[in-house]
Amino acid sequence: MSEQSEEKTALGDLRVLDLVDEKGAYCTKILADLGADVIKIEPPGGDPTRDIPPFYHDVPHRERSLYFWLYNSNKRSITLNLETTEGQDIFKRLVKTADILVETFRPGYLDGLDLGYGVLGKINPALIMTSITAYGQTGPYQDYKASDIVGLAMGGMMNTCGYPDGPPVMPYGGQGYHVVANHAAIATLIALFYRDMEGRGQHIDASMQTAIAQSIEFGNEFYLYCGWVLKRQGTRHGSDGIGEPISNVIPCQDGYLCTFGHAGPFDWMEADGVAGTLKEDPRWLEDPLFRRIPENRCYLEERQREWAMLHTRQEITDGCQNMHISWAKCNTLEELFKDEHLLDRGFWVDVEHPELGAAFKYPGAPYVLQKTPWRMKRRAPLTGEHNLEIYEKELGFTRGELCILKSAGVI
Amino acid sequence: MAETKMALENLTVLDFTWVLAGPGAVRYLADHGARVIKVERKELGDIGRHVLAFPNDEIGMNRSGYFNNINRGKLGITLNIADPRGVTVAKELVKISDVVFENFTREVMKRRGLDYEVLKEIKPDIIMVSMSPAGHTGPYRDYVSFGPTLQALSGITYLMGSPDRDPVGFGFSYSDFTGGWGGVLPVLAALHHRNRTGEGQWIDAGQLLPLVALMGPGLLDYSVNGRGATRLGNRLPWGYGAPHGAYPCRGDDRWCVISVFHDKEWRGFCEAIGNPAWTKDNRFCTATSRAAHADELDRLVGEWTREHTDYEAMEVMQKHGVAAGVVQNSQDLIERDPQMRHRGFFVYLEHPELGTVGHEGVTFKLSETPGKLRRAPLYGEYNDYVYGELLGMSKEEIELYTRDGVF
Repeated sequence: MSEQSEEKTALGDLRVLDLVDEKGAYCTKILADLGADVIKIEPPGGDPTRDIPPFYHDVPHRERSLYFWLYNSNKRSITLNLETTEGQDIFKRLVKTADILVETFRPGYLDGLDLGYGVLGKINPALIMTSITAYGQTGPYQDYKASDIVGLAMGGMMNTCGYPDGPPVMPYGGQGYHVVANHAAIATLIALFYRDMEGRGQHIDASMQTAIAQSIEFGNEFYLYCGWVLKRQGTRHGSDGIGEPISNVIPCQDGYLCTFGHAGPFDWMEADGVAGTLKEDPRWLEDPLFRRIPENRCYLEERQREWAMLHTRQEITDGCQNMHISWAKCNTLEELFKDEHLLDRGFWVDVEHPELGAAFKYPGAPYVLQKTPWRMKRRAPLTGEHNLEIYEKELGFTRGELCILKSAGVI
Repeated sequence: MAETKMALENLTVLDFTWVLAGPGAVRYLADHGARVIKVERKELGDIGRHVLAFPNDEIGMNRSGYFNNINRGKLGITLNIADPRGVTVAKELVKISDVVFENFTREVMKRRGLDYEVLKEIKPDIIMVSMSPAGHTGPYRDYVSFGPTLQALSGITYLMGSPDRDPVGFGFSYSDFTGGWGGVLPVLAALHHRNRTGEGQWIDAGQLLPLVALMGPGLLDYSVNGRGATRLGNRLPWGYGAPHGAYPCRGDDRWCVISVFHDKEWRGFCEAIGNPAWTKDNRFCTATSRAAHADELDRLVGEWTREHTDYEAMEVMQKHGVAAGVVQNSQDLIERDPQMRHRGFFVYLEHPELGTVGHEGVTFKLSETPGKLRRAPLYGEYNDYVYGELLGMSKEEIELYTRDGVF
């Protein structure tokens, strides 16, 4: 157990052992960001995710993977070879005082090392062990190889993204892994509540496929209830049935605009001389079924497109939102860093990288807890950066022993 | 036989949320046994009740798949919090609750006299989470928005689609899910804090920021390297994969996805497709050459995949150690996928108006407290139970309040 004493955090009393790859990286980050002491256990040469681009100044380097930096801020790092006898002993010692273990090995790997939940749960009955895999610990696909795009496809999410006359489109940013990582964190904290009440831990089997399948909104409901198979419809929202059938991403003067949830600012469009006949019939504004008729939909979309080209995204967003019309600009990634709302919320946080003599802006708190805030404590660790803190100070190894362990390939 | 324990059976949630982001978040708690008191307004109830899908196109407040799937296991009550008597009853409900969820726009709870400052006077250790679109402070604090609008603001819409077309974004409200996780995660953390210290708190969990936080390493590629991001179709925005994408297969609009990263996987891929001569071509035989000729590579891979069904393609790739899959739709998930069946993911429950209906099940399996689905509430179904049994109101009081439109 360890206590982060500087400020109050929600999970500051917890020790988490991190044995994760991309499937779990954001999961343990969620816990670390809320105060948990997350110790990333890396193989002696360093975690393989340190090889994932982009790199600082595009120079591949194990300590300068921006992928690794992003997902591993707020964590500590030790190196440990779980395939050595002494490595396993050390691991069990760490498990004894850990609250949570998150791992993403293929099903059976830890069992094969005698480090499965059956063993670890006996060492520490309060341990919550969260195992994340693409398909689950058992089943016909348990040994199938997966990646982010494979998860998104097999889980049903990619099916709804893309233009009808083009291929299915992969969501941007690694969302397949993000979905299961978030679910695994939710599951872990649910198990934590149970442990707070009853004192016992348990084993969690989190599957990327089912996490994604539960995060696709209409698809399953349409099929279960009506036998409809939902397919990609471009920018149109997955349903014709929730009010506004017209949802587009259309160009305007300086980029793209998302039109959703409303037929448009007709008075403004009229003032610009492009409202056509929209103001002549109240059904344009009031009747989604009328708007859904193909020729009408076409006509309305043409007026919207014509109008949008007369204005900038910001003008349109400000103006529409002032009228409680839910249209909004498509931010580019770069623009996020200048976005007034994000700046006002203090979303971007500076993270020091002393080895580079620099600090960089990182995404910060997704949520604001008033009493136990999210906080950014440190950059991602260097490989084995905390070996001394853990092995010497906590576990009592001498430096001589550490040298032996290093050369024997244990740490 | 003892009933399996539920992880959250000691938790009571007072849930004012509606549509998807909030109810989806609360869903995880209901699945694990939390007592969720779902407050719906009079007349319309949760808007979700009016959203497709309806079996046989027969509309009805209790017939929506959208509502029934998301709101399973919750105790639905009707309550008019625009009426001062409704507010008084709401406060009584707060007294018996651990957490309050709401996803109204910023001013609503304050206008009703049910904001955190008031609630913490009633129950000092209450945890309240507000899941407005963009949070309670900042220039967007009063924005009206839905999934697609938040997705646009988050930057993700712009980056989905091909480089040679307008952005396409998601075809559904992904941000309702990310916003939902952004609500339930801090609540669970706050509960742990309260379990240790007795202290509750307010959480401002706007739905926009969690999605921005999930934009990934591209954010650091800009802040560190100054490089912006563009649409790349199904190519990886960072990292390397070739081939990597969706490829057309035999049949109507059927696609597989293939992702090859390591050199070893490339060799497996070549074996899988029978080692055709083109794989030895200068343009494809090395990692860097494959990256340089990715378009042509995709075309050649597509020629192979077109000769196979999507499942055949996946199987042969997997046999050779390549991460590949099928772009599955919900029919595939529900009827064909053997792994989904093995997980028992889709759960069928009895519903008084609909007979047997399917639900998305519990995503993750907890070994000791596996979670369990109970069906969604009919409109107003638990009024008598919540007001009578939980709050101890008399039948007469309940009838009076019902007549007066408070319940």
